[in-house]
Amino acid sequence: METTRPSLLLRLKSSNDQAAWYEFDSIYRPLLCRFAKAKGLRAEEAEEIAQECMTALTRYIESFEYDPQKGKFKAWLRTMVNNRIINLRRGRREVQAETRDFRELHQLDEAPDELFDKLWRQQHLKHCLRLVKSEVEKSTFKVFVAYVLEERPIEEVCREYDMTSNQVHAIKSRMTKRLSRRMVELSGGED
Amino acid sequence: MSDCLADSRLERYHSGKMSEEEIACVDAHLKACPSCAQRDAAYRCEKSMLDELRGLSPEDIAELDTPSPDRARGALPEKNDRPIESEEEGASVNGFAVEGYEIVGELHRGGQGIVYRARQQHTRRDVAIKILIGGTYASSAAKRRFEREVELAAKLGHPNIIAVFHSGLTTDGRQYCVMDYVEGAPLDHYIREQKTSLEDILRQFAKVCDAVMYAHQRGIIHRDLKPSNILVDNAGEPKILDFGLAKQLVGPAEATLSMTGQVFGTLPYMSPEQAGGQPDEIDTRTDIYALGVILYQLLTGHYPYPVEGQLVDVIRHIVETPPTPPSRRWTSGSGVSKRAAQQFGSAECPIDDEVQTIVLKALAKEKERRYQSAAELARDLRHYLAGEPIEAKRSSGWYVLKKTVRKHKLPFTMALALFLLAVTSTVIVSLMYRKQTNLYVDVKYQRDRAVEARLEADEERNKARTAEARASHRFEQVRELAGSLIFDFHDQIKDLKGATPAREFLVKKMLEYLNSLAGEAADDPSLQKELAQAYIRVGDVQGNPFDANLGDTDGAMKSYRKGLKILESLVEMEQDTNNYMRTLAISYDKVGRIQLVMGQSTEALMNFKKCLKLNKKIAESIPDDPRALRGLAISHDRIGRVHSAMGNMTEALASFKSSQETLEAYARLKPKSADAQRGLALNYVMLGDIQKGLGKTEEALASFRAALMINRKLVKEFPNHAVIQRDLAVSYERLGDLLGMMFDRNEDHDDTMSREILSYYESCLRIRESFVKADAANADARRGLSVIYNKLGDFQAERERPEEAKGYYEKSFEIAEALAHGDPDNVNYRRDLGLTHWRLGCIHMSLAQEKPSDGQKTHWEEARSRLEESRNIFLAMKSEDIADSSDLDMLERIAKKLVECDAGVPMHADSEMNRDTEPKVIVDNDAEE
Repeated sequence: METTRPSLLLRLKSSNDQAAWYEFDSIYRPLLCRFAKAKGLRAEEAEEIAQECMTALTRYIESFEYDPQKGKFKAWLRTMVNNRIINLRRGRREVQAETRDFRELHQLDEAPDELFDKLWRQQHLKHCLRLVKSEVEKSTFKVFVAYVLEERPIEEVCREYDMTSNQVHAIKSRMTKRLSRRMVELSGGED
Repeated sequence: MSDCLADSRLERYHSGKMSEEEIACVDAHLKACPSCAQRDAAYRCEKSMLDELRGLSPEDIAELDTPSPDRARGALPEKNDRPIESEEEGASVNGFAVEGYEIVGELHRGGQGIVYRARQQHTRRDVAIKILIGGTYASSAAKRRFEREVELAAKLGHPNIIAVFHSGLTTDGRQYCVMDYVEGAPLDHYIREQKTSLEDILRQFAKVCDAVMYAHQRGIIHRDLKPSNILVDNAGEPKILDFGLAKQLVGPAEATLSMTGQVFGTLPYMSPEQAGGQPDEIDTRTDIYALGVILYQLLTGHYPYPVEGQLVDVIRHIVETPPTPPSRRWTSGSGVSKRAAQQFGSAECPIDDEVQTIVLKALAKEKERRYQSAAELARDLRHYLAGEPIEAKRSSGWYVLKKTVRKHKLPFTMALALFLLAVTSTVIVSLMYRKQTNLYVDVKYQRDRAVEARLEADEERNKARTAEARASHRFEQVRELAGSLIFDFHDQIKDLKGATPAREFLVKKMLEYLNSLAGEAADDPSLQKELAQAYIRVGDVQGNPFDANLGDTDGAMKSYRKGLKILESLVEMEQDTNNYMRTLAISYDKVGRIQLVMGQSTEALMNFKKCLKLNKKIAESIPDDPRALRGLAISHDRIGRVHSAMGNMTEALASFKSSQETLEAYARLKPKSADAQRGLALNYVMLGDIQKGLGKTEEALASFRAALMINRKLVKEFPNHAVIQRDLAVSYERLGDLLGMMFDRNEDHDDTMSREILSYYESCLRIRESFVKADAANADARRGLSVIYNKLGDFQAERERPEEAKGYYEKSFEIAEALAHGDPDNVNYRRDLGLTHWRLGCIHMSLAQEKPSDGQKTHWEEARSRLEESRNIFLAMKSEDIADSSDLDMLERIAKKLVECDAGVPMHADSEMNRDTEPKVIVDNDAEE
């Protein structure tokens, strides 16, 4: 799972598809930023790193051949951003030597993979949620947020949106299906 | 047994609001009903997704309001059958279109792709279009293979086969296949809903077999037969889908290896040869096996063996576990599913011995024991329906025996899992055993002393010693087996395509194994050493850039560090043994090299220095040991290279001088060793480079000449050795370069020197030409040749022979262009091409100035276009941020040349835009002339 949707990467490769770039950027740039920040970088450093990675990405995409076994875009991206963070810190180390700040950063290194995986997944979820949101009525989405995400009591949701509990349940199930379909699509379409 | 679970019930089951009784009831049902179990799995997936969603912050949700990129393109409508916005030339959904068809709705989404319902525009015929996932990333060879298969499959004309009749690429480049649209239900649903009798099932099934036979006779294997690929249309006719597609889509077993080892896709219908990862073994009988699974399932509502749980288990069941006889599903406690019982309208088993024999024969693990064709299977089904004797016979005792023996020949996936589990636990058990034996020895010993029965004690002690020796011997054996097994397995599979999941699994297992061993090995130095080496090997597999690796650089470094740490403590503990020192030194060296590749020069240097320190110690402790000297020389050399790369030329020079001394001592010890001589020559070249860089021209000249002398001698000794030839070419080139530099500096241009330079370059050229001749595909060889062409060109250009120079540059250009074209990402190739354009530009300018009357404008024009090409290449590199300072210098130089060029060409001085129109004018002029 979690191989990146081939069509998106390939759309980027095959043409100057601006929309694809936009979509791509909207998923991965915030992901890289968050990751870098979570690893203790300052906001502007994180943005710079994200920018560097996105630039490197444009080159990577050109050489990209999708292969479900080898095509580990995720692994590539993780290595990329990690290396850059390490490089940046190395530069910083010369300045700061062994300050407490720096030692703490080291401790943060312990589980970079889990952190990246978590953010990766979250960012993808968010992206799918956005797609799904654009596909449905505003009120439908609001009901979904209220009932499923905020976990408000069903009676309250029914009252607020003037719906029966069956309708609310139907929205939950329909939205969940859509979302998981989008996730499958984004993660390479494996069932 | 209970009814199938409603959605609401499933939800309650997961909500924790269910009574224990009810939970038990649902549990039981889930065990018995594969379709509910599947729904349950899907529900779990969705639930965990929602849980994760709830983990998003409110800001995340708020951010969703920034415009979505997909919104503009329109999304799928909720209902399937409503027409979607259609364009003139075809229908468009989510940004793609299929020419000539109008997409009407989505029918199905699956692992292979999305199936849309569509209408052919000119015939108004209803069709189904399958957009293949992965369609675009297929290599061109795979694509051709796919097209050939589809072509073949398109020729299938059988009433029970839905043939693909057209395939192509969507507007966004994905592969699609068009087939007839059939309204109907998958075979298993149909049979369940229609409450078909046993006879009817068999009759339907015989038809399916006929269709499969028909395709087999035309050389097409399905490879992915399953109930959902067999639709029963409204007239009750079964129709097989997706013939000829599966080969592209259903790879070996790892295609279904997804998520956390859960089983997806069509694994349950796979034959042992498919599941066991033996794609070469797949033939028509693979389809027979799938037919057997389908028939089994239709008759019992079960799979022949458990297909839930961990992937490895499922594969093991497919490869190994004999199918539970269908009739036993009706009698044993686990029982036939209620569905099947309802199906046949009675609780009595309708499956007699003969049907059972037929099903089990189709399900034979060995291909040879199955029905050899679908026709044979169909024939037996019809014999049975007609009340005639069937041909299949049950397995004889002899066969069963043979089968048991054969079962040990497991495919690698399986063997891997089993062996690892078995071996790992054996090692640990045996470690425990050894510890206990030690304890036993102690206790015995003390007791014996207390009793002071010396004789008896001796005897006991001997016994104990024997026991200990035996235990330790056994332990050694097992450890050796485990270590080599894991690594041998890895090495065996590492080059196999698609082995990555298995390799990752192996790494995981290796680390588990090593970590558990580490806990036990604290007091055993030899085990520790082995452990350290094993960690380093695991590191290699994880991320050694010099080898096929899994790309996990972080993991690799972690493993390396573990290995180094163990070795360091060993060396500290036993200062006197060179044994561990040597291993540690080698490991430092390796890690250093890897860090170097990763661009961590400072860390690399540190490790090389640690390595050097150890090597010095070793060399001091054993004087005149060639191996120690060689190691020491390598250390010096590595450090020299890093310094040189970092620009610390003085340090580099010192290192290379040290390695020179060491190598000379080494060569004295091994006077006949070509390796020693070659090392010396290489070192002279490095030394010469550094000396040249530091401006010590005469010293550099001496070094290069020394290298040349050694290489000439070596070539005489090994005339056909490519590596030595290459070295020789390098020393010629270096001498040519250096002398060229000295020639330029000299006031009086010395003809002898000039001739010497030319002869060196030409010698180099001859060797490099022979390389390219021998291996035209070798990019390094071609690049080397292109470089020497350029140097010869420069040589001629400086001596004001532009025609000759142009000839060399053009040869160089031919190579540079081909290389850059073949590997557009390679910065070096791009730079080479840019520089070759530049050279050609300059030489055309010289030609233009030299022969003002002869084709003057063409030379100017050629010069300009070459310079512009060159500029474009460097500009592109600059914009991609991969240009180094010399590239930026080039841009300036090109700009200046362009100005000179403009001064030579009569043209509108200021206008960038006129450049585009200019060639036309000149071409026109030429035409008039």
